[in-house]
Amino acid sequence: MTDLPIAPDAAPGLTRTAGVVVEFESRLYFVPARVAERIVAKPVVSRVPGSEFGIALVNGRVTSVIDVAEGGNDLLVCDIEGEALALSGLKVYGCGFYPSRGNGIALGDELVPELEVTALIHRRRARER
Amino acid sequence: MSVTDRLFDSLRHAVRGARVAAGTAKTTLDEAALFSQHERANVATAQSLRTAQAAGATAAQQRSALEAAADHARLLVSRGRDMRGSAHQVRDALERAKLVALNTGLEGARLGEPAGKAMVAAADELRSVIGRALAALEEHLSLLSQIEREREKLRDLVEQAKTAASALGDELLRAQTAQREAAGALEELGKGLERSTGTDREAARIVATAAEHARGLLEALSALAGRPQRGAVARALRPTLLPLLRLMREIDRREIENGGD
Repeated sequence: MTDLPIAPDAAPGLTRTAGVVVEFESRLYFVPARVAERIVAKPVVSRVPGSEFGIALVNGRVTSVIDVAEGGNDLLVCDIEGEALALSGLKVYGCGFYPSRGNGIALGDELVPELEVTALIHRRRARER
Repeated sequence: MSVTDRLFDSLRHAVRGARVAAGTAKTTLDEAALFSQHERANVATAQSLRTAQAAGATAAQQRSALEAAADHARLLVSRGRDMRGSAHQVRDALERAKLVALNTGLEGARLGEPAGKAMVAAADELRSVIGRALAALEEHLSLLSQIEREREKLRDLVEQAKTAASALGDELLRAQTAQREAAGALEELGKGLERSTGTDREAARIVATAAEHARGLLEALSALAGRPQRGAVARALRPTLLPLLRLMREIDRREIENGGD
């Protein structure tokens, strides 16, 4: 987990989006607050044989865990179509309100696209099949 | 002739006689000197043995002190491990607090603006403070690593010093053994000298001492003879010197009676 200062107030007229900024495959991505539920310390993850998913006990609930990348000490618990699913291997940089820009946010001069969590999971499931 | 002159004459005569006696009894004086040298060698050997024993005791104390230092170094290793353990606990707690701050910020973000703005700002400030604390902690851990490296060097040096002190103690023990052997050999040498010269060691020692004193007396009297106020000097020395003169005459008389020179 790395520090990222909160984005400065946007200029009047610009809309701001709430969410989490993460690093995935050496790039920054934005996970909106409607998807990101919480960030937790990575618990023991039990692998499910024949599957790329694992399961872990997160806040007293059995939660599916998907490794999107190697390493990392945190899990980003997301709400995917009403189901809790934790992403492992993401580096969380910060959270707060950021100026919206296109399909993502602006972080200084940089455009940070939204991480399509649902599409990522579907790709994993397709690979699994 | 004044009393003083007579005293000095008698003294000169006695000393001359002693010189002659010393000339004829050169072998005895040589033997006495030999025994005297032997005695000095004995004393020196005993002294060096005592010194070696004292040095051995000091080396043993040094070894004990170094062993205590090595124990303390080992204790430092243990304390360092405890410190590292507690620092890791602090880091875990800070990481957890950072997660809490992050989740608080996420909750604030979910509330939307402006309701959650203060929450997000507070969470961000908290994360910043925790980040600084974590950086300081990392610096402490880095310093701790340096201390551990230095401590390892210290432990190695203490171990080396301990080994050196142990070797020194062994060498000193060997030196003591050699000195004891030397003392024994000197004792044997003394006995051999007694047998080969037929001279009693104690008598030889007394002769050497007497010869030494006689030489001193002769030098002092020679120096006094050239000074003024000889009368006062003679009166002062008379009670001491007259018995000496009588004793020397008696020795001469006996020597003559026994057919000596």
